[in-house]
Amino acid sequence: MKFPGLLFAALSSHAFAGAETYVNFIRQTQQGTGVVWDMPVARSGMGPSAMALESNGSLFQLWTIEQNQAKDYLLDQKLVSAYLPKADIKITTLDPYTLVTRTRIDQPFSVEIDVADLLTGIGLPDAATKVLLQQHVQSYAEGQISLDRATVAATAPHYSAYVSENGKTVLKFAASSLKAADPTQARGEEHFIIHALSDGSITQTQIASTHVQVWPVASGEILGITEGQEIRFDIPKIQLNLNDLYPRSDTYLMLYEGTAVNGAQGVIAKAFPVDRDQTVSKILEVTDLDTKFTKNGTYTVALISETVFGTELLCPPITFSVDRTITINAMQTDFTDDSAALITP
Amino acid sequence: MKTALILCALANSAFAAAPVLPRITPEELTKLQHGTPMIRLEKPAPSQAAVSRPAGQSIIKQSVVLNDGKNWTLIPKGAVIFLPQAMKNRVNANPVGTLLPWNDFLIQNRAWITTNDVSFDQAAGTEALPPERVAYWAKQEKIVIATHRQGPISIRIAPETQTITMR
Repeated sequence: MKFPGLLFAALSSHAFAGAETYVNFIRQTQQGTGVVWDMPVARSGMGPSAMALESNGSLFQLWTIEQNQAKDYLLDQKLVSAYLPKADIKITTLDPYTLVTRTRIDQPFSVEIDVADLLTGIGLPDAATKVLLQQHVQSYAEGQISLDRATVAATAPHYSAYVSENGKTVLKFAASSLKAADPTQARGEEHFIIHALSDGSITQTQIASTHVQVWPVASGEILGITEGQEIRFDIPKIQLNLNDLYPRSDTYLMLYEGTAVNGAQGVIAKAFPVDRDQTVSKILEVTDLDTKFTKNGTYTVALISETVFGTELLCPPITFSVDRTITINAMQTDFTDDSAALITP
Repeated sequence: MKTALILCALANSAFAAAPVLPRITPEELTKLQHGTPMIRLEKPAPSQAAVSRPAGQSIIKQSVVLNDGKNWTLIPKGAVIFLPQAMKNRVNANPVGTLLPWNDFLIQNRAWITTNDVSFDQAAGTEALPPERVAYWAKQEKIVIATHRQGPISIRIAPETQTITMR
């Protein structure tokens, strides 16, 4: 039986696949006979499988190989059969970035599962009546920005559950489940995989999968000025320590008159926009803050980051005062006396 | 340019309207992480949930590497159906040089690679390959790769074909 509807639109959907240094392969493995076929592929696009599907299923794997190190990555895989349940899975986050689904550790996201061809009836085997949804969570090592799907799938799942109804199931997560000593600094990926239940006749059971990249909450420090400080002459040099700024974010050092941040009209003292594929940490110096003060008074500086998730403080604001009034204590001298006249030329 | 425009637009009224929120604390986040929406689904018993997930998969390790000294490609194991002695050093070689997709590699190496299109039944070993074709392979000094719809395919030699090949 042919399966003309199987399309490989995923080729261009991953950051790996678009780069010049990667070559893509789609490999179909027949679960019953073990026959392996490499489907000719372009760098991006889609096409139907030309191979017959066996009753035990066909495993489709999308691989990419990095040229320089000859390192292979399994980008996606799916087991398809006329007699297996079918499933699609999609993650939706608040971040509209399209190259990879990404979010922040403290932000909500939803997982939408669409299952078809499950059977209902008495005496049917489990494999015909339910599929298994597994959630895998794995942290990034230092400097890592992606994980090998096959490696993640091989680890013990964080949570497993059966889906036993055809149609859509939406799971709304309040935040990522990734853990760290300080959970706000957790980074890594969550993978959701749907398996057909194995009856022993198939070597792989994954029928759908997706993943979301999870980044930490940014933090920061304002150094060089302290809460309650009184400034009488030059404004001290200020250093900003910015940690884990979200891949698409705009970070500002804001200056406000008074003590309030909310509802106040602020002035940007320093701006740092970020548009990358990973978080950014940076140390910045602010040397021209002096030019922002027009009068004496109380001021507040705040380190603020604006992302798709909202506008947030990276650390507590600092309030200080500026008083540059010069007081001169002098004694008036009268030069009209006689001694003054003596030095007149 | 876009960033500059955004900065300019913000310069005079930055954050006057948008509420500035405090950074979430580790304790607040831990509370958010408590519980899972998957709880409403049936949880399998530890002995259930029989799924297969082979570890350590690698398409390179599961393939035959062909190398012409400058470029390389890979094909499924079992796709090389005839290998002349003189060509042995080009098969199962190291993956060094420039990796090419199979079709590009084939175009550049027609001088020493030829293909033999097979049906799915022939690949599965349920149907023998035509004897005259098998006999022809030995008359040329080319590696023969089994293909199906232009893609390399592994092949299980049917018993009759094996006899012919060994003759």
